[in-house]
Amino acid sequence: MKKRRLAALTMAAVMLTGCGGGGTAETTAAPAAGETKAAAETEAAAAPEASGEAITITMVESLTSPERTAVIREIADKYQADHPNVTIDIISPPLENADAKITQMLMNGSGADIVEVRDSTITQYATNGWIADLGKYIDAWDEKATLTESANEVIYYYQDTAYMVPYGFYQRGLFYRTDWFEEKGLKQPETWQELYDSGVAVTDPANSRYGYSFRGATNGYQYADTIYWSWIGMDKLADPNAAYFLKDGNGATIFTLPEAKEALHFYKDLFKNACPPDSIAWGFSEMVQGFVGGTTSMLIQDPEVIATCSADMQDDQWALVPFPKGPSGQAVFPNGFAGWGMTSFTEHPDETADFLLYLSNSENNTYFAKNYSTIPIHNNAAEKDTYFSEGRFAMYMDMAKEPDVYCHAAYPQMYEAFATYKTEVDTMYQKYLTDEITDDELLTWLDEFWTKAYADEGQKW
Amino acid sequence: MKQKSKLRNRRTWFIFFMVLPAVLIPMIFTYYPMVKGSMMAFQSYNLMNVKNIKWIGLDNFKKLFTHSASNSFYTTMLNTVKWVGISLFAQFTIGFGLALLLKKRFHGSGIYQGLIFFPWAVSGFIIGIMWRWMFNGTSGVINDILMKLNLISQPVGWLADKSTALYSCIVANIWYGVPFFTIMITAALRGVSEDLYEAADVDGASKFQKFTSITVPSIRSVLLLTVLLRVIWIFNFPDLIYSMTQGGPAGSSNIITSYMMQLVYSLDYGLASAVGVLCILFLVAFAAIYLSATKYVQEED
Amino acid sequence: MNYKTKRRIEQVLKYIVLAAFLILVMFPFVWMLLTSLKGTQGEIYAFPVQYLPKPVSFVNYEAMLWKGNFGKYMLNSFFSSTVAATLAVFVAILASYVISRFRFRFKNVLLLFFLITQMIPMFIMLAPLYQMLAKFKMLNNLKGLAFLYTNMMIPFSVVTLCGFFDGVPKSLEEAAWIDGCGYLKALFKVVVPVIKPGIAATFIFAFINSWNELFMAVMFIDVDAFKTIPVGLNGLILKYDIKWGEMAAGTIMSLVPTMCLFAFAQKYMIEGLTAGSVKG
Repeated sequence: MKKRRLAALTMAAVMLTGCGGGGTAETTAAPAAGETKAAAETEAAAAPEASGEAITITMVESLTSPERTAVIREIADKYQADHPNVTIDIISPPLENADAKITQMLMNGSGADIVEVRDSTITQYATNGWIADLGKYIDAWDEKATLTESANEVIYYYQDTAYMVPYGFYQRGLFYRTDWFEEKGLKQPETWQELYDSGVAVTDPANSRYGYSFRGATNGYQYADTIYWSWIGMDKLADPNAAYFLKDGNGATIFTLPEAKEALHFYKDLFKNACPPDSIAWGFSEMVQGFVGGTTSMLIQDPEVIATCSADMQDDQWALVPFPKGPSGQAVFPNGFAGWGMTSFTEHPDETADFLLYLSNSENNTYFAKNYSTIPIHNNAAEKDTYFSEGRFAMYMDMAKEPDVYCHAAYPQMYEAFATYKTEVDTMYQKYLTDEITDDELLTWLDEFWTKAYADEGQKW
Repeated sequence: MKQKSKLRNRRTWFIFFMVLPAVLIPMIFTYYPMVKGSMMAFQSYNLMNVKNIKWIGLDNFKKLFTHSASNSFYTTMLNTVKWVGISLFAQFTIGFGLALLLKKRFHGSGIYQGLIFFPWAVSGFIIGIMWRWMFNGTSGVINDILMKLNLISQPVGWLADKSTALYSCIVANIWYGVPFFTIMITAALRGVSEDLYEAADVDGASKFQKFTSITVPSIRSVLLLTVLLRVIWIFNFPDLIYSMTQGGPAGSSNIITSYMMQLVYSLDYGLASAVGVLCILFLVAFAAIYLSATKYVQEED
Repeated sequence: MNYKTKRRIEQVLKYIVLAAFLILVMFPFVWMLLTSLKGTQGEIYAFPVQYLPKPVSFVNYEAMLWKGNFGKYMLNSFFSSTVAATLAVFVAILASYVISRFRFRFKNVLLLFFLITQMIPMFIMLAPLYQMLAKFKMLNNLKGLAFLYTNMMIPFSVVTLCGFFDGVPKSLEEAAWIDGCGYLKALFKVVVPVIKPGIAATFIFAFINSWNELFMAVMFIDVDAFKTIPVGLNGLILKYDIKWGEMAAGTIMSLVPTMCLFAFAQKYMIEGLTAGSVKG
């Protein structure tokens, strides 16, 4: 147990200097989680697991798609075959409205035992005491030894409490059209500058061909952020998980740095000179379709897109290569994660946790990751399935070999203010890109927003 | 005398029981949740942290009306007026015109009515994404047709341009809303007794005279109510905008209710509820003015 | 120009206008139909736009019907919308008749009461309604959903039917009263047949609005077995992609029952009219 915690400490590079003891996490756990644990223990004592009493475990997913639900159902059926007394119900609300619905379910405190927890929702669920501490189950788990560093880090992401077990990671890479690049005699872009130059070279509005699939609509800010970070470099950031703040800055933000302004100008130039004009309104599906459908020559996206590209394009038309680097020499991008958490109001915590860990074991997680194109959480995944060591996925292994160049950073999602930020920020960037506000106005707004958040909520990383 | 009061009593009870279910159900399932939900407008009700909900008076409303770089509530209100005004005018005019053409049955008029009824038979969000796709700036079919007709030379990013986004949504909304007026007005027109027109013919009235002195007065109450309902519904119809542009780019196509939807998704239920309360107040004020201006209520008395 | 040619020109103009409008209205649906018959995403996204599917493929319909649960969604939608429209129209006939015909105090208040329900954005009620439904055990339950739709459609039905009742001359049921009919009997025997077109129109709108309702169905229904058509179609909007082909196929199929209903109601609208003119 000590070893695990130690590993988590070093790998997460989280500022835990204040909490030396191994037991800190347990004592600081949210009260609701603590209660469940007590309840769990009494229940476990009263009715051991093999009692055979018929129970139903309800699992709610949020990033739904028919294909993914089918994979989860398959794993659940396997589990049910081994545990005849357990029935697993999977609830799959439509993706668009899933988060709003799940929030209602959790607020009402009923109807769910397992819930999908994502980097964007973990703060909300944990702060409100809706998800339980899985610490004791993970400690006793026979497969915890093979968890990857990133997985261990993420389990304890929020307040050093095990609020979730990830099912995978979303790391972005650069997809580009090899055939168009060859046609123009361009080589594979390795830096943002090369991406820009080749993007401009490819752009030909008369034939509706453009360089890059820009993301202007929802979550477009994430792309601007990766550019800031690769201009600024990791050294200046306070923490990879709160990468808007400066190291030892006492709440000062990166948006006041001259590099940030340069990066912002680059971002606007990229949009103006290498992207379709209507990409200011592009979301996920438009940017992916822009690339797959032959409008744009480059796309930065999650590994999930591999499946779409494979289905709709010829194999020799495209390639997936590492994330572009900035002037700092580093490529910095978020290591998006999502996983499963146990609700704090579940009536069968032991059985629920058992299924949750079954879902996350090496065999099932590898199977899930392969079918859903996420990066698996067990380090023996590549042994189990060559899919992860060969072909398109191999690029991720290459990036992992150079941790000093390919770094992870993320927006400060642990702040409550983040929810408000998310709804306002894209509009602000759109205003900047359409010349409604200036670079200074945008950066000042960003700086003030996060300075205030820091003042209100303190240091949360 | 006794007989009369007994009758009166019977009549009162009759009225009471006839109205009861129609009042009781909305009381419980609409008004009660509304009142409870409106209370959030005066609280710092943020679902990021439900343990920290406080009464904050009018702070949410103040925030909406404070000028700042990220606050586009004023634009949103102006957009709402455009959205309702233009949509309603076009829907009503086209709908009324079609209803007049459809009033007299012709061969195949049943099928015709069935066909133009199609838009109404589809969910708002589907209409929204269908039009978003047709308006698509790179591969949309509308661009393709306009280019083939030589009306434009290059694809236009209809939904990506601040000057066209809202109007593109309004086009979709007009398309969606015309059938409602057509059907409602056609049904009302066909209910007008032919005798009245025959009598007018005997008097030698012109078409226009018949229209103003028979048609319009006969269907007046249906017209007045349909228009009022449509104003309220168009106002309360964020689905289209939300799935076409999500209020963008840069907030240029947001209306009040789609803005409220964004706030709900950002988990700030307090602020969203404040917007909701404002919506209700605006509409109540509008209905009051409308009803007294058209003397609808007096007539009922 | 004599009267006959003038009339003929008028007629031709009328049909030209009607035809032009029909094309505008139908175009998106024709586009959907064509899309639903395209087998690959590549075909669907092609630019310059490829209008006709080559070859015509039914994979999307197959996917919706056999792989998905679309048949089930149809039944669920049909059940909840029929129940809701029937109940709402029935409740509304009672109330609107009284409001339109009798003089009593608070009548205007009552009308305002119904109007205000239409002004309330759904979102403001979301959280309290959810908790209430949980208490009443109406969550994740088709009957509960049908009841919510009834509630949603009552005010509209009352207000619309009031307008139709207003159009009927009062002498009609007064004669029936003199004949010894009770209030209720007079209403259903004499007045209701006259406003059949109005009732048919109100029923259709109540049905269609329930049929198309998405938000409540998403929020208050969990399991796949109780999902309605809009929820099923909403689920085809994925993170990276929209399943256009399947969504188009589903939309086209979901139009069939509403069209049948409309054809059926149309008959009643005609009957109601003739009945009205004979008696009036």
